[in-house]
Amino acid sequence: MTHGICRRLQVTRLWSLGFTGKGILVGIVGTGIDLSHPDLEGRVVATKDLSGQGISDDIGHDTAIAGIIAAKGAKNWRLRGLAYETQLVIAKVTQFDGSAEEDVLIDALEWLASQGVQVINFSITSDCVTDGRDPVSREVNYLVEKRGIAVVCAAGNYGPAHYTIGSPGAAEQAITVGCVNNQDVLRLASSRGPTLDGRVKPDAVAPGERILCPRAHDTRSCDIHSDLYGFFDLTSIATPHVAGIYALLRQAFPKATPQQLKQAILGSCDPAYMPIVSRISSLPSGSWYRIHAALKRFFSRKKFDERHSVGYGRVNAYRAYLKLKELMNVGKT
Amino acid sequence: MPDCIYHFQYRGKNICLSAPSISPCGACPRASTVLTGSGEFKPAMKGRLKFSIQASEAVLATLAKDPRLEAVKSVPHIETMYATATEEDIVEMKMENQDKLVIFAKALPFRSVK
Repeated sequence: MTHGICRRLQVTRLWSLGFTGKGILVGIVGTGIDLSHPDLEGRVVATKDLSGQGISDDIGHDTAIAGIIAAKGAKNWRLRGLAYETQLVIAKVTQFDGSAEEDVLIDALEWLASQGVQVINFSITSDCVTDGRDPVSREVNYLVEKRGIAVVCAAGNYGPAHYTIGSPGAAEQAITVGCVNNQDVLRLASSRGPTLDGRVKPDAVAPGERILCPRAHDTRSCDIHSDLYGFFDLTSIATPHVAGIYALLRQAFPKATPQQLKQAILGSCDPAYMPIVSRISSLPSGSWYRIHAALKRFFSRKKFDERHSVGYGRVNAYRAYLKLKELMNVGKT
Repeated sequence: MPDCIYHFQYRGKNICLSAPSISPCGACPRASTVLTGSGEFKPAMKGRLKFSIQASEAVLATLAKDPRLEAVKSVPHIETMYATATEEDIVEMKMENQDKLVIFAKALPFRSVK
């Protein structure tokens, strides 16, 4: 997690106000964790292995995610996580190939809730497109509505086609995150909405291109930088940026509800852009007389494409803080 | 290709449990076309399947006693039960309990997003 990205997301301005995630518990559902990584030492307060494979991270997926949220920057302060003083609770659910079963995921969510986490990072999606009525999506809605725990979900990497949001990204109460490159242009692989029942998803986008993160010991699922770090990509890596921002805002406003925090995060996004390639690819090729129809279709689809691809835009931590401050003050008066 | 969670085979026919008819529900062709470029179904799995049932607490309690089902897990706060059964039994049970069930679908396969 480079300092440049924290500056781009204006996370550093929240740090300067004293919000570093202290006292916040973040849950991670996924592939386990490398507890020996120097950036994560002392950060993990509880773990549970629901996969039967042991808590170690054989894939390297969630060690990177944990680092984006809570890395200490032990070797280099510029590689600190967004909420570098948060504590983590890890539930491992995946088998050696990265797959997980639906009922195990529900067990993991329930266990994390019992540990008192305030936000859960969920960078696992189903291969099937859903309308948000599947059990995992309903469990996510239940946690947000009844238990006050936010769940930040990856949109998935099944783009550029529309209707590619799986479970639990399709859950109404989830904060579903797509990914952009370093110029805030949507990455082609980022899954796009709407959901099968026509709701807008993803909700927002975050950086997901060559993010320098802690690398689990002996894993090769990334572009290797050094023994301890690697470059990671796409929506699973974009998701913890939003989970980290949520942790900072939760520390700043402990009485805010998950819905208010979501509203503030989504209502304060910076613009994100559609890749030119995916717009051009929607144009049919052929003779000139078809161009008028194609252009008409192109411009009518543009708004639909943007709304269901980048959601409200790219998250901005400081603007979300200001927005939430405004919302909370309105609530008081 | 991702399997459709509502699609089952019964006596050589494709059955959709979401829109109870012989034809697929609205979600199937859309989902499969978007992800694979073809509207074809993947043949449903053979043997015992794990699936989820969403229904009222009373209906779930009755279904749990059905000898065709092997209950795996109950999640009462979202009115869901996981069980295993053969495809034929699933389709038969759906037909028998048509009005009482909200959702009757295969358990979704999940994967860490790389």
